[in-house]
Amino acid sequence: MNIWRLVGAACVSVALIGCGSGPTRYRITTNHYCSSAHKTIIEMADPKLSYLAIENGGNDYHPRTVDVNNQRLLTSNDSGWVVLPVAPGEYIVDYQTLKVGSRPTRFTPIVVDIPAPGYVARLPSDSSVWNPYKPVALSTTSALEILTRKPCYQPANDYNAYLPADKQQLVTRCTKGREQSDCQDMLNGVPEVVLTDSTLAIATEVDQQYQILRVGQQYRDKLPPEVLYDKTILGLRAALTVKAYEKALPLFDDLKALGAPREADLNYYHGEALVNTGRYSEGLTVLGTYLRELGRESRFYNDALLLLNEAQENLE
Amino acid sequence: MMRVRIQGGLLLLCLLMTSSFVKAATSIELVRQSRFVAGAVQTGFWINGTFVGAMKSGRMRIDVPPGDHRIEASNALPCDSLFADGGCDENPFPNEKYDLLLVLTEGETAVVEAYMADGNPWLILRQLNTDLPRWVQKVEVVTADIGVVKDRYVSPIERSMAERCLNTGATEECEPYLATYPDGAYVAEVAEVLNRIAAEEARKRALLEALPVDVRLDALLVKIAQAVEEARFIDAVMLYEQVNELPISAPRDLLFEWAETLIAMDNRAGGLEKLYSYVAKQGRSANHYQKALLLMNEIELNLK
Repeated sequence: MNIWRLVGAACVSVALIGCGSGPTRYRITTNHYCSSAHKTIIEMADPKLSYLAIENGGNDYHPRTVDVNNQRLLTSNDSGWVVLPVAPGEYIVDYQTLKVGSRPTRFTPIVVDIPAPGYVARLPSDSSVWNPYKPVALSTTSALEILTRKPCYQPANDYNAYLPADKQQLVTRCTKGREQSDCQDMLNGVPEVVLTDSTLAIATEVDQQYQILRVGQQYRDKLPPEVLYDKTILGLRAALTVKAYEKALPLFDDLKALGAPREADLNYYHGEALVNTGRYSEGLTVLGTYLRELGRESRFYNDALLLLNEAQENLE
Repeated sequence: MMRVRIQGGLLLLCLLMTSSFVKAATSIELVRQSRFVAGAVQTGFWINGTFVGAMKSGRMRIDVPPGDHRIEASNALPCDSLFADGGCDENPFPNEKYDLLLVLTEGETAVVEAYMADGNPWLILRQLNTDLPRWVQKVEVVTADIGVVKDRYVSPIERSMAERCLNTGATEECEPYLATYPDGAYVAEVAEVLNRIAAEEARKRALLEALPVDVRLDALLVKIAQAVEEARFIDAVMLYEQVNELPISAPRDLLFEWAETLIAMDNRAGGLEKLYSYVAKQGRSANHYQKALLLMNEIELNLK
């Protein structure tokens, strides 16, 4: 029991005698107390990262909610910190204090401009639920200190939910279009910590596919022709085994370009790939050649006829 | 005329010398307003963990070096008070401390108020702006127990990063410290650890270079086999690079095995590059010819 606190409370009580009973308690359960994830953010120390450090004022009677870029960041009764890792840009902070049985006190939204990486915008609340925020700049060291301080809160959504519109657009362009240049723009403009694991996985895969293509273009011509032929035939076999007809089609062209003698059954496989990718007219020609050349003795005579019929029906 | 000029020059020199020696001190001024609420309670102050003094109201100045500083404050009744906590003499401030982090530039003075709020927490440290309230000028000047704090604040993060380096003596723990805190409190110690590591590596390298090249190759191949078996693929890749740098022709299948390691790390593009080199160099007589081509197709056609 802190006697000094008792003394202070008694003094306040004396001053308030005759004021009647206080407001009704109004507690909202907040489950997003911060986890060890915060430590990971600190350790990552991404040079592109900035922070928005918001101190939530609160008490047992008036919870306060904080929204950033129209996404709920926090609702809580107890004072504490929420530190949001962000990319530079504009962030609109809406906040209000809730009351039992009456409309909340809505403060005028503030626009926090984070001008550059490494910048920390701190929104101290003076610990009162009725005080508006006034952003002040802070050193990164201090922000990291706040990150580890208790009580602290985890934002209610994934970090990327709070990104400004232009940065959101970078993310969407990468994840939807899956172009290497778009994903590179996203990685250059948005700190990795802010991105979700699935977005990062997409960006990594897109980059890997781009590098694979680049290696193929760079080294293909350095292979001896017989090795290139073996590689193409094996690739064709592998693609057809798993019915990856779209991937098989360019390999037939590659084989033709190599000028090697065509295996007898190759026309059947080519026809199969063409018909199964909807290229019926070309399929009809290739299968016709196959049946004309090898006739009833051909290895895939019946299958070739079935495919021929399918192509014809679709053309009609 | 000449004398006047010399005297003028001397005066200018003196002025220049004086100005270079007298620098405005960087300081923190701690203030507390005299208020009825908690009037009997005194506030104790710490700067960077050092107790600097206590007061019920007043202003107290402490000189500090420029940089980060952590100010802490806690309230308690003085020990001679009737209701003072038991054990007050040993621990006069047993209650929770509230803190504020500041960054001061050379010559800057920050005024920090210990403010008695009506919420929770009820003691708040806040920095007052340049437009100081009038009461700050009026309160009594209190002499601090410690008027000068010589060190700047070392954050727990900086300390833990430095300790990780000093305890493990590993390059990967030490280099991030120097990159993050180039002017940090542990720069000298961390740099010493890195120098020690570099010297040790140089010694090992010299020993290794004294061995015949074929023995060095075998030693590296044994290390690679071990690393791959223990799934330490990054280590294995670094060792492959060392084999490549040896002035001796590498084993026939080295590129294939290197590729397999890269693919196991999901570096498919890197693996593909090695496979192209492998089949281009060895042709159809390569030991793993068929498997190499299958892997190349699997990667390029993305069949998995």
